Amino acid sequence: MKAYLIKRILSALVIMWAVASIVFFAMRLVPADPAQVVLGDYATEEALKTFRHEMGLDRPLWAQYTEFMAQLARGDLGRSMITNRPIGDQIWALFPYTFDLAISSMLIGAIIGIPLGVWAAIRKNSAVDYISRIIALAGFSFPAFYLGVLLLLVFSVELGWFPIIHQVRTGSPAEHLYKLILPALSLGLIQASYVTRLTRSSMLEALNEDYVRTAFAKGLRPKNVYFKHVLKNIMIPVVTAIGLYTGTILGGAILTETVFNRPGMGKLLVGAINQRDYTTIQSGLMVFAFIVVVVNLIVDLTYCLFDPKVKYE
Amino acid sequence: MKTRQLTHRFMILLAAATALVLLSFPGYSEELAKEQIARLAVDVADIGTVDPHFAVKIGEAPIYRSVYEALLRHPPGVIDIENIQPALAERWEVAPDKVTWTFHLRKGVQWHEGYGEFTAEDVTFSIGRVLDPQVGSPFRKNLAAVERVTAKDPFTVEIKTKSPVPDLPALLVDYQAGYIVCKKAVEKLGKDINFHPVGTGPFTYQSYKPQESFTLAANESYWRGKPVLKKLIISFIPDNSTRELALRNGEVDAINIPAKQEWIDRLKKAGYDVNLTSPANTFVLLFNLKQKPLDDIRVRQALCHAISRQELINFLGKNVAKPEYSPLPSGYVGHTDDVVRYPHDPEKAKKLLSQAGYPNGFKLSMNISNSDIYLPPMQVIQEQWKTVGVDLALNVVDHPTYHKLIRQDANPVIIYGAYRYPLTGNVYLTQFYHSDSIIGKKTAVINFSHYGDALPGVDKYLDDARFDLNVENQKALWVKAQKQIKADAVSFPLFTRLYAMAKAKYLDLGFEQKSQSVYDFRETSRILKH
Repeated sequence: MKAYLIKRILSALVIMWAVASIVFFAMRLVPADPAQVVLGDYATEEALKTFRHEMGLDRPLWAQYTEFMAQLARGDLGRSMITNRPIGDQIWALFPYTFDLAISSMLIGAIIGIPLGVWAAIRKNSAVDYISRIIALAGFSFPAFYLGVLLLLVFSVELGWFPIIHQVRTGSPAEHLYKLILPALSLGLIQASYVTRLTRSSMLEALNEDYVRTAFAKGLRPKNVYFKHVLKNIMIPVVTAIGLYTGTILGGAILTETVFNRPGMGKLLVGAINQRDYTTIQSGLMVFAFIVVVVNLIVDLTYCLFDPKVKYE
Repeated sequence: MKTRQLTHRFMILLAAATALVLLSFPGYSEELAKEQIARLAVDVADIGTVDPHFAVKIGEAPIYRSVYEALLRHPPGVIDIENIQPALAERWEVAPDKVTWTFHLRKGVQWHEGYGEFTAEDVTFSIGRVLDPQVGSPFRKNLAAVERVTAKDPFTVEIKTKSPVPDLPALLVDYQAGYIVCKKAVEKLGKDINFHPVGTGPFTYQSYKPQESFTLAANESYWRGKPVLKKLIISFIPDNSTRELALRNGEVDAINIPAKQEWIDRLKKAGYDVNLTSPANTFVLLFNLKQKPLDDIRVRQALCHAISRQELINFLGKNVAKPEYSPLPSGYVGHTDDVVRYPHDPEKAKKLLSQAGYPNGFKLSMNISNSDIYLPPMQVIQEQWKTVGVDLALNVVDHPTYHKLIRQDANPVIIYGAYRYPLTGNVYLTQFYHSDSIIGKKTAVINFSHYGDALPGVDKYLDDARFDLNVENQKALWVKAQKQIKADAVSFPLFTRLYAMAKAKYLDLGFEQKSQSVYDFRETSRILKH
């Protein structure tokens, strides 16, 4: 277990280094000049020069790269090129909002997706199965921001249950939760459609296995067969998928945060990209990559919970 | 008889019902609402700075415009450089030498948050700050002609310019370089001044929540009088649909909206005030005179004749865009429409192309921004040029990349939307058409055509006009320049695309919003009972 963990952490470090390098060079391949973007059309050549110098953009590429790597190694995310605020502080201040959103939509995805998938598989080709398949298909093809606007139209404009402006900083924990419902639903429902489909197909596969037939032959009650034997066996692919979708959720969070006007890291990144805020983009993406790596590590470690045969060496 | 009586009765009833409906219609009395809080939503995800010497984003304007003031100002709600009013300066005069200006400051004006009285020292500090290359204000060029600023006494400032600057008062208004910042506050707050503005205006800083909102409170001791509004909350809502829903749900009172016809029609129909404002970006096509085949004037003329402005405007929306014919847009001092117009005439275009040696047209390829104010009009022009045989390939890149590429001389044709303050021929014509402004030069601005090098150009008219304090002489020179530019077919002005914004009827600004890209709030702004 220990050896496995060390191996995984080392490979995570290599992944992080690769991500950092790709992001660093890709940003600089784009021909736009951050100085011009930040200072606008009116900027004079001197103002542009001052800005480039202040931000170290006039230094050779390798010098910028080594500086960036050294900074990362120290755990320092640098300062925003636009606002000059420490990026670490900014991300730290926004992280809880994105974290809430990601976790709650994953939960919604699992809570809706797994039972629905199981039910659809058990009642294969019934009305339940067809409806769940149609909903899952719709969920796949629905962009998160569109679903977000629809939710706002129904629950905020028509029913008046929620506000349009989901600003959260002032509120109590209860208000915080209340304002999480719609954004989490708009991401979670889409997540649920993935989980439903995956659970259904894994379940169907498992139902044909010998051990299921044996269990039924033993005279076990169907409830016990489905939930004690089959479900436990199919959890590995389902949990893997949920982990893999972290990236998708973080991507969706960008749109959801914009539509619901929530603060968050996604919005920070989009703003940074539009303004060519190299430093914020680099560090923001590093944090995203870090989250994806960590979540996947956790997912791998949970395998032994579901399957005692899994051992880490 | 009975039927007639019935009809009669019915008519009376109908009239009464109509009257009732009309009376109960939400017309707003002069009575004030209990809660004097105005809520504005702007289309940015967050702000970068509200320091007026640096702020360039639309969403930042309502904040610094409410907090800071300048020596002079435009009348509320309108940019009108022929009608400039006193603000922090009560009066001003220029000496017979034409380069010494004296500004007499208002006494007793207090800075927000106890930073003391506004004095001449703040003025010298502010102008010095803009001019200091180390500070790096993007608006430094506006005041580049200033040689020296001296405080004669605590309430008198003398500004000496290197050469006569007829526009100086227009540069010292509440716009870009003209804002006066508080010396003590800037020195004390350092970088924090970016998000903690300290001014003399009707509203004062209260709080800033990144990615959410900025809250201003009334400056109870504002020198023009105590504001009616108690609070002004500016929310950052980058998504257009969410902003509209927030307005319709009554969660905000005013928003800026996309300048699109369907938005304007929809919100008007729903009972909101829609304001369309100018000066705004004027879009112009510029031909690169150094690239073949555009070096041939007949080709450029043909391309002009092939464009239908009317079709473009119909496409963009009748309230949204107004046609422009001259290199100096309408509304700028010195503008004339008496220029060669190159009316839409595909047959003539084809004839000109034949004469130039392209009877079957030619192929052209250009980079274009993916921005939804650049790409769609260019696609319309692409179709129009196709009818005369010109096959234009559009290489779509993102907006900042486009700006970089066109400055590297990458494009044969450039579409550019711009608005240049002060609204005279001076800055606008110089930036687009003076040979000093040609891209790639040290003094480069936005002369993408190489006009003035590739062709003799209009440098002389522009140089002569710059230093002439006589407005009529200036205007005559700018008219000559416009005629020459159009005769040379260097550019093809397309349209001005207005800014659009919508507000609830119960929000009474106290003036009409005719200019600016976002609503302004002044001490007179108020919320009526609704």
